[in-house]
Amino acid sequence: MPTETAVTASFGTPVEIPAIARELKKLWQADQTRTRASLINFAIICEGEDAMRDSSELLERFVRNHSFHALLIGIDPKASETSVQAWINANCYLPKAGAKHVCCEQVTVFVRGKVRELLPNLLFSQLDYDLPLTLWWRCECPEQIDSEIWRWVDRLIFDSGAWKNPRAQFAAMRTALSINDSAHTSSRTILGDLNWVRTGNLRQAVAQMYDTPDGAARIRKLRSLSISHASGSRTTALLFLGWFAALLGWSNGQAPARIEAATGVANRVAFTTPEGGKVACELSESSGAPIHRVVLVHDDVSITVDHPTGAEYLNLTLAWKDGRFARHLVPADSTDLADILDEELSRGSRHGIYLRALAAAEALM
Amino acid sequence: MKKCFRLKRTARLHNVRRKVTSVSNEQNPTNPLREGLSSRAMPQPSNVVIFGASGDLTFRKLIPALYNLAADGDLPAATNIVGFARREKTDESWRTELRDTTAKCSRSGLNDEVWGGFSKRIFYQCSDFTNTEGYRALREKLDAIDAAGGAMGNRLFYLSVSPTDYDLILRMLAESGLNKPRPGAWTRVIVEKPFGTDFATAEALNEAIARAFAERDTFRIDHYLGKETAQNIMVLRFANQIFENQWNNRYIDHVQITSAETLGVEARGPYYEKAGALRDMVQSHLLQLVCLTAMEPPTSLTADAVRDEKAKVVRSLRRLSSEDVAQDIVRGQYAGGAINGKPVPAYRAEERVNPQSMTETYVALKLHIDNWRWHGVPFYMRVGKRLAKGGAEIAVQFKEAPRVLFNADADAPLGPNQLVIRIQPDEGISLRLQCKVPGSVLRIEPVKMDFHYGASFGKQSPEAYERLILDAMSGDATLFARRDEVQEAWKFVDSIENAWHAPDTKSALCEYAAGTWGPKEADDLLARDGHAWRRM
Repeated sequence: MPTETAVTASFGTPVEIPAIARELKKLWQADQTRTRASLINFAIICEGEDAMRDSSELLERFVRNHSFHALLIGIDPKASETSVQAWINANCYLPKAGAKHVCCEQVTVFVRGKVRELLPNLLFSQLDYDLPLTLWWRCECPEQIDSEIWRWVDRLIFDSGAWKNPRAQFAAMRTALSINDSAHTSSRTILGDLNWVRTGNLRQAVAQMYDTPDGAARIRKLRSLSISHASGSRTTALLFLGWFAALLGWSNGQAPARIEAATGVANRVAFTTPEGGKVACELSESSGAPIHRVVLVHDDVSITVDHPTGAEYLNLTLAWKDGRFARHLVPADSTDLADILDEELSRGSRHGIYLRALAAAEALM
Repeated sequence: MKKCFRLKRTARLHNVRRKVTSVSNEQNPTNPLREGLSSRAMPQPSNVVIFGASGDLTFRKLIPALYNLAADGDLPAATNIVGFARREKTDESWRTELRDTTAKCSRSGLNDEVWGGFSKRIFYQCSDFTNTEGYRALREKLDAIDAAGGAMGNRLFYLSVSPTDYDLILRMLAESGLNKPRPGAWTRVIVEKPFGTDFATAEALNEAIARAFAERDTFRIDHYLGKETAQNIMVLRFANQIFENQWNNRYIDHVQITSAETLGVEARGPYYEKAGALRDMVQSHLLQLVCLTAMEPPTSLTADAVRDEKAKVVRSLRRLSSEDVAQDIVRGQYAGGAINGKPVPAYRAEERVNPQSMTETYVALKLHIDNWRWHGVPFYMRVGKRLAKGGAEIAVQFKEAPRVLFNADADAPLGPNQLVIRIQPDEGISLRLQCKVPGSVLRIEPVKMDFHYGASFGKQSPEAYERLILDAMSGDATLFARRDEVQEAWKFVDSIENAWHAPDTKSALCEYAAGTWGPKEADDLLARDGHAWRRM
């Protein structure tokens, strides 16, 4: 069991749960040179002390870009005894010389033992009134969440790339959020899969290659698509493949055939286009960024998108059959979780076609 | 570099979300991979030809804006930039000069790798604006770029030159055929303000533009409209039911629009001597703010629907007689004074300014908009140089609550509610409300609800020029002034200029000390109506 002293040092001033609101008020009254900024309730639920500490550091980094009332809840459902500890803190920054500090308050709670019973009230009682609730579900244990909680979540953030069993987790999520077909949910909750955000710039870059009238016609005649992904990023690659399938109306005419290749495991699947053409798709695993190479082959041109390890820009190469060649740089997706979360928190709307891409990807999982 | 990159990426996302609703993508209706990625019209690759390539605006604003768009991945990959100017330069020497200033002026700094790719697409054409050969060479250069897999014949001409050169360049573009689009491509022109110096010159300029380009391909740029807060005025009004219901003469007492600068004329003496505050600021920036504040809800967010409503506001401005001008408009000029603890010279003592100058550096106006919504609601505007503080804002003052209950005491009436939209600096919105002071006695004091963009969003907004250039490449003219808007605005301003300069009614030029809030007569203008300028 962790010592209380060690945890206290990380999360601010220890407080009793019933006294949190009062102590927060004192925190603001004590210093009139600070502006309290808050646009959303940002709750993070994570498992264990290390994840709590990591999450707390992220919150400290985000305060410059996002204004929120933060509620960090660590859970330890395996603990034999039930206990709850709480701390309060303010994360501040100075926007410019002479200005007031801008601060976001943070409430941290560590729940051990009977998590399922205690969680709903701990969450609901600590929310700032009238502000939407963004919940980052940072662990893989949906049984710990009471269905009551889902009804109150405006934006649910999760990372399907970190799930050990994505197929089962997606199924659990569909049930919890009443996602009843491929593209619709009866829930008002907006889904923010960080694994989808992780390919946002890559999708922008690929789409940009087809913005011209010629390009728009060309994408419908794609011959083959190869995606090279890192170990552990198969779900990322499948969502990316699902994006193509959903937007281009591909149907999966053949069952995916799994073949062993000398360099590792490759996955091949042939899709049928609405026009009746075939698109050969291949996923291969090798070291590098989550998705480090995409090759799109057309009759007249091949487009390759490379994300070299650690690079901040994607290399887009167009090689025409007549020998012409062009290269462009466009911003790459960050591989840093904090950057990806930052991007998700910057969004003001739903991920338009995520559920459609997910439906296509789930069929391949 | 990591932090810098993160800012750039988030700025790009912000960029995508700024458009409040989806825009039909007329240019590229069929790229299926764009679904769900962006709610703005997508720019098409084009060759951007900058006339005035060696000018200050090109170095400090245009190239850094194009570079930032490239660094954020918003600039179509096959976009090329061709500079056209008189000075002798090569592609390489121009690129070197641009690199240095872009590194200084770009909001995201300069990444060598990105600049490497971006600068390969920058070219220079040395020519006098009158030289037919220069335009022929430009045409050949553009054709060669297109043939090498470039911009598919799309051409965007940016006139970053003295307005006196507009007519010539437009004529030469037409004579050389560069204004004519190829089949399936487009040609467009961006014109920098000032759009003329009065109605007659504005009309002549518009005629010159119209001989070369269709109105839908003409983009009159006013960088004020590219500012985030200016764009937010429409969102505030039409996305918030609580305000739009009250936005009329039944509830609003008056509106104050202020644009204040602490700077003097700096190096712009000769220009300013001819223009003055009225032509320089009121005709363009301030009337645009009046339009955004007073317009009716447009039927859609298409460029023409929005600009139709703005044009109606300008047409509804009550024309002023000479008597009205004398009574409702105050002209001022700054005398010597002090700003931030340092003495500053009088306007007439500034470099390259006539020591007997009668040019106004300050104007305060009382306007009326003659339509149903605004009948009886005065719009007060003030604009000036060397004022006490810099800033631009729109303050909407609501009528006081009825004089019953809490407002019954005639000696201590409640203050009115006031909604303030701060455009710069410290962009945000504040609302003043009345509130009971805690205690057993009933005392009421005003309190302020304050929203600061910086504190709430903490994001770096793209420069206005980035947004506007991208819009022009996308064919979206919503944030650009239309011909009728510009001409109507000049008609209004001309009526004031004419009254000021009529031989028998020379208007007074009121003096104010630099570093103050303008002449006393401007305070009197509001005091006559029982109002006072808002303290900024």
